Parts: sequence; structure tokens; C-alpha cells
Amino acid sequence: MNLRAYILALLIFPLQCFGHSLSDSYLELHFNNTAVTGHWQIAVGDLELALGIDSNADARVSWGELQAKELGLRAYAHSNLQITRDGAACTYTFDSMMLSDLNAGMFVYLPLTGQCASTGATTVQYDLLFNIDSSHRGIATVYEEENLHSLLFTPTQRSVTLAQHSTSLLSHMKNFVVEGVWHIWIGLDHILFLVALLLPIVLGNKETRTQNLNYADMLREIVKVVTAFTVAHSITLILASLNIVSLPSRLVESLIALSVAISGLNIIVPIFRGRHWQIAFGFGLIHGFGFAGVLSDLSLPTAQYVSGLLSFNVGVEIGQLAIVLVLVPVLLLLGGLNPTRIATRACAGVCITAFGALWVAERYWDLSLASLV
Amino acid sequence: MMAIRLIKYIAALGICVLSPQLAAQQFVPSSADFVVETLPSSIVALSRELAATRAVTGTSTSTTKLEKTDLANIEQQALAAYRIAVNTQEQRAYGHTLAVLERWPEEQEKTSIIHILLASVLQHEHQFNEALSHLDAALIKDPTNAQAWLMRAQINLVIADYDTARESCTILSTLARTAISTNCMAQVDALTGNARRSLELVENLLSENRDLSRQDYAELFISAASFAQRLGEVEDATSYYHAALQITPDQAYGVVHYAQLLLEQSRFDDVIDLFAARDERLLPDEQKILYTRALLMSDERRNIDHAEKLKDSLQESFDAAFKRQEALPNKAYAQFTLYLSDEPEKALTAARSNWALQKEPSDTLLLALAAQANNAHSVISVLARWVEGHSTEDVRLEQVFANNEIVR
Repeated sequence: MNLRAYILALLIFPLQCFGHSLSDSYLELHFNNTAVTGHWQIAVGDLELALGIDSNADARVSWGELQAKELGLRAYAHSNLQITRDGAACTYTFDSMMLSDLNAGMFVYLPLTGQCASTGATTVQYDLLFNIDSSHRGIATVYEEENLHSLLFTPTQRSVTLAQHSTSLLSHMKNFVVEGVWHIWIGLDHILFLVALLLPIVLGNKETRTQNLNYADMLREIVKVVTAFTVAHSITLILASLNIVSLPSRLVESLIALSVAISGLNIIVPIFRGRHWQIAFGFGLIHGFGFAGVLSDLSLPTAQYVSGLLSFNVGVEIGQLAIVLVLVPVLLLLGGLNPTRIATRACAGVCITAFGALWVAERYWDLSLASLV
Repeated sequence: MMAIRLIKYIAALGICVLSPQLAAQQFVPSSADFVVETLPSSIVALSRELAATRAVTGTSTSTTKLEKTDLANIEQQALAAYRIAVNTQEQRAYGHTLAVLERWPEEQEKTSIIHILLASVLQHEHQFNEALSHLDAALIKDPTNAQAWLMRAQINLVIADYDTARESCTILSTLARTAISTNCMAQVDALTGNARRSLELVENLLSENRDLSRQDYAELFISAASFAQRLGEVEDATSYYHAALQITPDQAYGVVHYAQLLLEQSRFDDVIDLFAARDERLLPDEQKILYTRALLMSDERRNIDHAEKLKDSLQESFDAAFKRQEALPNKAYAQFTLYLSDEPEKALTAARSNWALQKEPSDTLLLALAAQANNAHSVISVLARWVEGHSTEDVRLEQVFANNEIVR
């Protein structure tokens, strides 16, 4: 057997692939109590391989040829899709086929209706085409009351049992709230910016020398700053997440670092001159772009985009509020005595300014902090 | 501008909110004569092969207990499927080859042919380490298998393991014809500081004109073209690619690099001509991207509209690939985001992922250009050091380094 002629063509300059469309079918199922409805879209090219639709072999599949094979096609589809709930098979039938014109080519569209004996755990067994094409994949979306499941069937994963309530809207939103909280907690730049904004309000600054606000004024000022920061970053988080406004991440990250450095400097040398909430608002706009960058990394599913976006933002606010609730009492304690107040102000001012400046160098000029140490 | 973006956003949100099936409206043709789809020749060929298999076995499914003749049939069927895959680059044919190969019983020791075919499919799927394991297994069984040595060399060239590639080419020189072994070694040399010598070697081989098959000519022309292109000898590169494509017009590597060369020379109409005669549905993503770039750079309005449609189809193709969560087309996606969708950050991420897997000069260049678009000088510096360490010659890479004032 001489392989050379065939393999050589690939060997010398191989590795060009993904030319033709991939073989995928799209299954959608909706479960409502014991009823199941949905549809299955299977590429005409795949059906040709499985069933030989093009009966006159003219390389043109006509609607008539498909109709002539419709019974066989439905039987073929049926034999490769099993739906069970609580171990009991659901009975379903395909209604009259239609066509849908997708980017990957023309697909046969099979509407599906059926009944299950129970509403228990759902299992979908998918075997379409795997015996003739190991690169085939089944991409399924399953709606179980309020739960949405995205499934991928491969030759090695032909059966999936759905975890009940695993991806309900509520749990999906909870996940993004947690992500939001987590992001602000692990984002030292955001935390230092908040500290730098709140510290002069609670401890006063070099200009005022002493803590000159009473608690009511202080609380009012803190609420104004936190609210301004929240409103500002919410605006840009939403605008950037929806691709309405976009800025290069390098610029955003550098500006965030700059905001930290300037706010840190303000602790040592008063430059904001009491305009705390206005500054919080201005820099908050930049921090919102940073949050949006994280959100895009989390790859929000399109169907749940808005809920994910809002949940993430709520998470950021919760995380921020938690920081404020811990930070303010600590600062009040430290501000109780003149020496600790002055030392806290000096240390925080120098450290925050230094961190901000180093981040600017690292993010804008690509300098490695490690190499500077 | 803002208003247009807002309208676009509302439209996009509308699409998201609507269930996916509404994106493509279902319909029932009014006539039985309605042509639903004209099948690509690749599907026709594969369908015939499957029909022939069904006629022989009476079923398309795997059998459980296999006799010796069944094992021979598996080899034959896999080879037939692979032949279609190589000739047409049809994904389904590669998938079918693998499906046939997977019917080989686990308890039965694989033959060297089965190992080589598995390696070929895995290589196509960019699973290089797994492919190399199968080649090693094939070579243990059959140490004089020239095909396995050649494939091993080629994969090692792609992953930039040049020492191992050289070792394979050296062994190949005792097992294969001069045209094959010389080309193999010339490719290794060309990537390790001897591009000029490699070009001369291949040119000599071409001019000596002894015992060269059409396939040999095509491969040697492609080699000469790529060496000349990297050396900046544009005219020679152009004529060599042209000569190669006269023999094998659909050779994907040649088409891509020739189109790239034409684009670099602002010969947009020639790129458009190169692709216009081809079936657009079957163009690989990399070729579709080059075609789209040429259409966008030409001045004609109708070309811009055409380019926009190609862009949409590419985006949908990437969306489908991402849904599979496997074998992501990082190289093509990096090119798409860098040149067509203006998303340099995504381009850099994808180009990095691609470069982690394969390090041909075009992969390195893509990463350098993506880094340049992001002002990521540290990445370009790393690449410059890597290129220097391997003595890789490529005038386009040198240009990127010079543009970014990388001192070497």
C-alpha cells in the first residue's frame, strides 16, 4: 500500500485547516411540566453523508429528494436522540420538516413535540453522525422551566444528565454578584483608590491638620463620594460592556493607576481641595472601564447578558460597601490620637502614591515591577 | 456616530433577546424542484465513499468482533477517507477518517499505517504531541518508514524543535528520494540561519530537473517561494508561488502565502482575482480573511459590500467554532481581530495562544504584528530574542523589530 502520494501532499506544507464548515447540528428543547417541545437543525450535507439524499447523484439536493427521504430522515434522527426523565423515555415525534438557511449552509429543520412520564432528572442521549464523523458535534440548548442548559455532545460525551436547577437565572446572577465582589476585593488598585478618597475625609489632610468634620458631615461626605464613584463606574461599566464606548485597556489600566497615584498624593498634599465627590466621579468613570474589561473576560452568555452585567455591578457595589464599612471604623480609631492620625496619613499617602506610580510605569511603559526591585 | 452605535446596540440586543432560531427564518419551498443545496465536491466524494462502504459492509456502523479482513478493510477505508480529506481539506472527511480509525479494536495492536493515519488526523487538528507519539510508535514498528520520518520532521518544524527535525531529515536522506530529503533539510536550514543556502539548493534541484514528479515540482516551488519571501526577494517569491499554483492551484499553504505576498505589494486586484474564481463557501478562514482584506483595500463600493458580507460570515464561523469549546482557530481569529474587526487585544491573545502551539515564521510575524498593534513592546522584545536565538531570517519580522526600535 503506497501512502506516500497522499501523505506527502499534507506533509510538506500541512497545517492549513478549518476550510470547510464544521459539522454541527443544533438541538433546542423546552420542557414544561411533562411536555417537551423544540426543534433540531441538521445540515443537508451531513444528511447526504448519512442517508444519501442526492438520489440522482447530480450533486444538487432538491426539495423533492429531501421529501422522498423524509420518513427515513425522521427515523434516522429519532434513532439518534433519546430523551428520558427520571429514567423513563419521553415519547416524541417530529412534525413536517422545514429548511433553515444558516451561515454554515442549508439545514433541515425538524420541529419536535412530545410527552414525558415525569418531571424528574432529564437525560439527553445524542448519537447523530458519530459513527461516520468523529468531528461532528451536537450543540444543544435545553430550557427546563426557569433553567437554561447549554450542552455539547461529542463522540466521547454522548449522554448528558442535566443537573437540576444548576444554572437557574438566580444562580447565574448569584455567580456574577460573587464575581463582582471578588473583583473589587482582589483589585488592589480599586481598594487603594477608595482608601485614598476616604482617608482625607475621615482623618483630614495636611492642610486641615486635624479632623475637622463632625460625624454627620463626615457620613454625608462619605456617602457622596461612594455614591459618585458608584454612579460613575456604573455608567462606564454598562457603556463599555455593551460596546457603546470603548477605550484601549492599556490606557484604562494606566489611568486607573494614575488615579491611585494622584489620590494618594492628595493625602499628603491637598490637591482636590474638598472636591472629593467630583474627583470620585471623574476617576470612577475610568474605573468602570476596568470593571468592564474583567466582565468581558468572564464571557457573559448573550442570552443572560443584561442580568449578568447588572449582577456584576451589584457585586462590585456590595464589595465596595463592605470595604467602606470596615475601613471607616478603622480610620476613626486611628484618627483618635494625633500621632496615629499623622502617621497613618503619611504612611498611606506615601504607599498609595508609590503603588500608583509603579503601576503607571508598569502598565503604560511595560516596565516590570520585578525588574525594578 | 454615537447615535449609530446606539442603534446598532439596540438591534444587537434585539437579536440577543429573541430566541436563536429566529435568526434564520424557517421556510418550506414551494416546488419539489427547488434546489436546497449544491453539494461541494468534497461532500460528493465522501458520500460516494460512504455509499461504497455501506454496499460492502451492509452497514455504516462499527462491528464488534473483527476478523483479519475486517482490519484490512479498516485500513483501506481509513486510507480512502484520508485521501478525500487531503485532496479536499473537508473537515468531515478528516472526521470520517478518525471515525474509521476508532473502529480499530483496542486489544489489537495498531499497524504502522494506522499509527501514521492517526498522526495525520491529529496533526490536522493541531494535536502535535499526540501525533508525534503515534509517529514514534509507527517508527518502532517500521524504522525505515520514510513517510513517518518526513511527517515527524514537518511537525517538529512547526513546533520549532529544529534539532529533532534535522535528525529526521538526516535519516530521511537514506530512505527517500533526493527531492524529498533535500527539501526537508532545506526547510530546516532555512529556519536556522541558512535561508540563502536553502534557496540555492532548491533552485539547483529545480534546474537539474532529474526525476522530479509534478508533486515534487510543486513542493520545491513552494519551498523556494517561501525562502525567497522571507529573504525579501519579492519578484522571485512571486514567480515561484505562481509556478507552484499552476501545478496545484488549491494547495492551501501556497494560496495563503501567495495572497499574503500580493497584499504586501498592494496588489489588491490580483488577490481578488485569485479568490474570485473559487467557491467562496469553501474558502478556509485564512483565505477568506485575505480576500476580505483585499476587497476592503480596493476602492470599489461593491467590493466593500462584499467584504462586509464575508466579515459577517467569518464572525459566524468563529462563533460556531467557539461554541464547540475545542480546537479554536486561534491563528485565523487573531488575523480576523487584527485586520478586520479592529480588536487588537483579542488579536494579541489569540496570536499568543497560536504561537504557544506553532511557531512557523508566519505565526511569529502574526504575534509580532498583534503585539505592535497593542504597543506591547515587551512581547516584541521576547520575539526578537527568540528569533535571534534560532537565527530565523524574515525581512518582515526584521521590519517589525526595526519599527519598534528593538536593539538586537
